[in-house]
Amino acid sequence: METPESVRQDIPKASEKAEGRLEIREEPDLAGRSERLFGWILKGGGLSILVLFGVVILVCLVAAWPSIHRFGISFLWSSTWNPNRKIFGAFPYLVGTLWVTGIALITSIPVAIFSALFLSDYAPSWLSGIVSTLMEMLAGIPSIVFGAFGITFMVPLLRDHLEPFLARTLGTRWDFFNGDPLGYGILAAGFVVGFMIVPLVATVTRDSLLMVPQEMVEASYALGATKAETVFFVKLREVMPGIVGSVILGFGRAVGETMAVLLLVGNQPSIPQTIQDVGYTISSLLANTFTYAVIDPLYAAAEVELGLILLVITLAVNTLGRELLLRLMGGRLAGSVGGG
Amino acid sequence: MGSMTRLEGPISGRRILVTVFVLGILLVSGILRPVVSLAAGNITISGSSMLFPLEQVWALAYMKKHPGTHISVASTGSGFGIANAANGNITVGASDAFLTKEFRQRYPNLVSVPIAFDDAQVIYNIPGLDKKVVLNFDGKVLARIYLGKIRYWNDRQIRALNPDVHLPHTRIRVVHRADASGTTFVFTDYMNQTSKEWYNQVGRDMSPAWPVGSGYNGSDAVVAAVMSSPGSIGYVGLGWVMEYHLTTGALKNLDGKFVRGSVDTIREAGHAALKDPSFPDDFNRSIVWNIHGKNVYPDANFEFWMVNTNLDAGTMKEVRKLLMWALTKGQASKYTVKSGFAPLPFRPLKPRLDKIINRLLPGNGFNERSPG
Repeated sequence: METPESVRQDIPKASEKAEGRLEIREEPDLAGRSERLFGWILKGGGLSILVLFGVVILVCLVAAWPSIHRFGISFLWSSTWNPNRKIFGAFPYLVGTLWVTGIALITSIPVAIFSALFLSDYAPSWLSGIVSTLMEMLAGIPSIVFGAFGITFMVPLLRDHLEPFLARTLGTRWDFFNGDPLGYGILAAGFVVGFMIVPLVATVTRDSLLMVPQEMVEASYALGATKAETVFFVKLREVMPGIVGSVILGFGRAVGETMAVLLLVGNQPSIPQTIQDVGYTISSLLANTFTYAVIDPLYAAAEVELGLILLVITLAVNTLGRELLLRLMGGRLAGSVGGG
Repeated sequence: MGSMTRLEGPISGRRILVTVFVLGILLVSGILRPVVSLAAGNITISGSSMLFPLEQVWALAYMKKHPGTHISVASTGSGFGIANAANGNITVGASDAFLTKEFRQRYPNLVSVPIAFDDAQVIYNIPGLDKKVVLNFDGKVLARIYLGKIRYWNDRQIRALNPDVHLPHTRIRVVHRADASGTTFVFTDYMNQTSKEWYNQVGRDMSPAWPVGSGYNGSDAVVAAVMSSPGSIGYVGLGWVMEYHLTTGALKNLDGKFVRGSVDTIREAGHAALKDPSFPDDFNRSIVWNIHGKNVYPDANFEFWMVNTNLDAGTMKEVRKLLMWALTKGQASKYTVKSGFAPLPFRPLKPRLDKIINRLLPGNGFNERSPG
């Protein structure tokens, strides 16, 4: 490929040979014009994102206004959701969303970090290649497939083995683990969403681990550290910003995950009292009932407001994560990882 | 690269013009498309996911006979069907529920046309209970189960209705629909009319505020959840019961008899309603519970097509033709019963249908011999 400079130099030369005076004068002008046009197109592309974001927020705000106006801030902690009586409260859906996201993150982060460490430092290169490819493929599987996997595999496993086991062991001391083993519920949804974000966190962590300077590792060995010590205390610490960034990405994915959650979470707007309980997330409520909610302006407004709350949560976590990253990195590489 | 830039340069202005022109045409045709598809000869039907299979076989059979008409069918939920038929986005909105007073006030231009019978039936999965054992339920007990007040299968209120059945001390797991559903409307209608507690606390709705249980998207998911979770109770329509050969509970009807839902017993309910002179001509009343007859299934419903009176005359004629076919030849059991519906009786319906058609196309009755 030629560089743009060489292209531009080529043009006048070619036209000089053709010896058209008019063309010589026109060439730089033309180049300038296409340059400007290109600039405008790019500017349009860049601005369109701003416009799109603005339009989405504005439309959501307008659509949600009847509900915002009617229920005010108490919408957040009211737990009654009764379309029949036109009372709407977000609390059960907020709690359900946070439960599923929390379980997903708690189960996925350790697995993801361990697999990343294995891939970068312990696995033989042929195995590392295979596992990395599989992991990237895992990240590309549609969420409905994960949902089907959850119903056919996770639900029976939880119902017949894991949930009764939890009730028998931890459940004897804490009521929190002593629920009705239904299989469906926040645990099933959380686990499956966890599976979905493992590849996300693991890939970013592995890439960060591979970028740790060799000198640092050698210095650690020179000081007498073992391999495990080096990996754990030197490398893992060095890539902490990368891990935080990938966890934020994972949070964004988990909090908005719809199809897999809808199939598994049990879709009941109650506050989970035990880990075996069912719940309801914001995204699955919207997917289940939004086409029906449109028949009533207030009902629709309440659901749009829930969507806005989801947006605010994601934005807040991204912003907080960015701040955290900046602090962790002390200003290095600012903005390159935390973009979410 | 260099030569291409030179070639493109001088004519770039013209090229932009051509591009804009082509884009414009594409845009305009894109905008015009919905208008075109609503023109005569094109009928879009959207709504109830339960009616969808029947509408599909109807559309295929009808288009084969009437090549000039194109019917597109979509499964989007009854609520969506009603709302979009009312604002003119679709020609016909399919709904499992009739137009309640609230809907009639909000959408005064909608006319509901009955097109088939369906129902909601109780299904259950009780460990240790023979698959052939039919349990009896009445509205009060069903409501108390769905309110979370009866929590075990051997509760004395359930045993009182089933004295001969040995019921285990198994926890009841309540299963319901999570999406807005016509089956839910019909099911909650039964409890709403027979239980004060249900009436006061929850009410009749396509997507009510369920006090307990777990929700699933679609009847197939409800069947799967009930079959896989021991102790669970759920509800689905006739089509699902027939397809999966499910054991269903018998519900207590107005005459105190426990009746199971079937093609015959839900037809019985519809016939009894049509014979009742107080049954409204616009069909906008439930045929749940309040119908006399020994073999009447108390949780049956009409399935409806919602038609907007503001459709243009050409489209309306096409709709009338389709309706006429659907209500006569379309009621053959190779369409209705095979898709899980009970056929409508044409003769007792005709006087009321005449009035409905007259409202849609003034001066037109429901007479097959003089179309148009």
